[in-house]
Amino acid sequence: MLASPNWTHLAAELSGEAPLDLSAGLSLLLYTGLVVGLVLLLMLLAAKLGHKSTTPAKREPYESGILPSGEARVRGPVPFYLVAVFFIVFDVEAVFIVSWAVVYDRLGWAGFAQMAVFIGVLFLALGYLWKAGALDWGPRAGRKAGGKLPEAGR
Amino acid sequence: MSLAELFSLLPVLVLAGASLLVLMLGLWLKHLPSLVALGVAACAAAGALAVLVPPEVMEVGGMFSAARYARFFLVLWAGVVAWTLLSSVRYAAARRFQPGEWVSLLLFAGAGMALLSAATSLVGMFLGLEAFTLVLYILIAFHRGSAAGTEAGLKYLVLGVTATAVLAFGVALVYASAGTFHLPEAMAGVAGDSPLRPLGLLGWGMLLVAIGFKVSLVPFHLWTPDVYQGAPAPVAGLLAAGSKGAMFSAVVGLLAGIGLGLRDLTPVLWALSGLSMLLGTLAALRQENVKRMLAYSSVVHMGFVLMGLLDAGPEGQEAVVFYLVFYALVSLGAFGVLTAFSGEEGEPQQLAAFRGAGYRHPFLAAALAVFMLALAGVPPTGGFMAKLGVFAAAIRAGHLPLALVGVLASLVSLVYYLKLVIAMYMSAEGAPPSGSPLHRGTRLEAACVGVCLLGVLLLGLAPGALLDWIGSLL
Repeated sequence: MLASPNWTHLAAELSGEAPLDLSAGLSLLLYTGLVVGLVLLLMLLAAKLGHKSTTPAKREPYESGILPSGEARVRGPVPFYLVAVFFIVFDVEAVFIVSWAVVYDRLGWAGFAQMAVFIGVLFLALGYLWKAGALDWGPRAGRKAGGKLPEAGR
Repeated sequence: MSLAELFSLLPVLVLAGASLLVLMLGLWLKHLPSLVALGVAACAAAGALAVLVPPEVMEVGGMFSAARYARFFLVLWAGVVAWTLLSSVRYAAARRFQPGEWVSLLLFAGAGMALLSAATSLVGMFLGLEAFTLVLYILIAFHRGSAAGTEAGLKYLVLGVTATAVLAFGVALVYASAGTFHLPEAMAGVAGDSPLRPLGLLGWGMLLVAIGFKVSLVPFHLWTPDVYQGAPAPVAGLLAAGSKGAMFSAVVGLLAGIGLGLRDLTPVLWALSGLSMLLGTLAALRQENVKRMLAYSSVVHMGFVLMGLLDAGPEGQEAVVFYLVFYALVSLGAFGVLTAFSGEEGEPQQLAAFRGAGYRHPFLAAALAVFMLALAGVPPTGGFMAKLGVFAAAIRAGHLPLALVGVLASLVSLVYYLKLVIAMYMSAEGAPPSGSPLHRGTRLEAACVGVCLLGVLLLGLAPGALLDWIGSLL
């Protein structure tokens, strides 16, 4: 792809070694100007000439013809969020482990040692979360954590 | 990675290992002073290892150098972290920071900054930069009761992630143009005869955007005042002293290998530096909030540092490294005084809060006044020598107009730095300070500020020793 003639020509043009083809650039510029101008003109005309009416009913959010009842925002329990975050954190680490596992035979014992250190640090993190009470959730978490891990406690 | 390589990386491993240890220990041990003592001991151990134990190999994994330049910065950043830990004991305790997490994150930031300063490859640079930027995202929003802190953390996160994406794209483009991540060979793609030079230049442009964001050069400085204002004072000090310094110490390495390619980048660097000095100065003039003023002042100072980089020779690099050391000392000191003045809740930020402080808190106020004069570049302080160095570098490189802009910015900067000095000394004595009174500061905080004060004055009175030392590193 990189070696195709178009590419090298473009590279030469950009670095100033070949003269820029001005006519091609000009037509592109004109075309862009026309497109942008037309869009602006249409928007302007619609805004100026169009008929506008607002009634209270029009400002209501549309929900299949049924009047909305109450807020759309629901308060969800935070532990779901925490668990989701932990899942993503450990899931991303799995990417590194899998990429090692694919070539474990070529990396040998040095690779094994590096991966062992990596997984060791991961276990430390898991232990930290466990001890801090981030994995306890449900009714008893509030009593037990009581502020050990601020994020999980309240 | 061989054992010899690990051995060469030992000081950084000590910092990172201590960070893990403190994190786990913090689950059982809730006593902040003892964890801080452990953290400071780790910093001291890392610094001592870096000085006393020569590395077996000069480069680790083709990514990080273990040469004297890298070791010098490792000692500096370990010192900055230890200083931050010591000076913020009361501050962190009053705000109920989680002791283990606080100490552990600061130590990890130190490890990340040391890695960034040691980077000899674009990947190494990326890793080091991310290691401490991630920590800063957390530290800026560390005070959970503070709405401004949360806002600052979110702003830094959103803009920082964008800058990271641009950096990664830039690194990829430079790799595409040169076929290697390793510095200085990766810079070959920018050289005149390379067929993929446009790609290399585009990559460099993206690198400059990301670098400009991290060190807050105009026009990438918009996050700076809000983040400085919202972040806890010790973290803002670390941000000013450490993160910007570490980024620039890596840029010195980047530009060292660029050779003739510098000619193409010069107009961009010129503009970034000039705009930072001009707009930073104009914005700082209008600030009534000391932390915001310091934020804009840091924009101006980063413009000065960039000006020094325009001279790619060893003398220019020497001036830049000297400037970084000076700026680390003086901004730690200034934010250290703010930390010491902070009471149980909130920090003194408005100029009015400092009225008459010179009479009630003689030592801390005098130190703050000296730091302000040093930032302005008044002769007996290190600021004068630092600015002289970068102005001389700019003139050597043939950028006299830029140097004149710098001199002008320095002169005008006296106005906003002196505003604080005037508030402290020339408002009526005993004028009732608005809001809560300033804290007197503990002995430990005063001692920490004293160390910075001594350093700033020594750099001005006897700069030769450090300059020679830096010269031997490059």
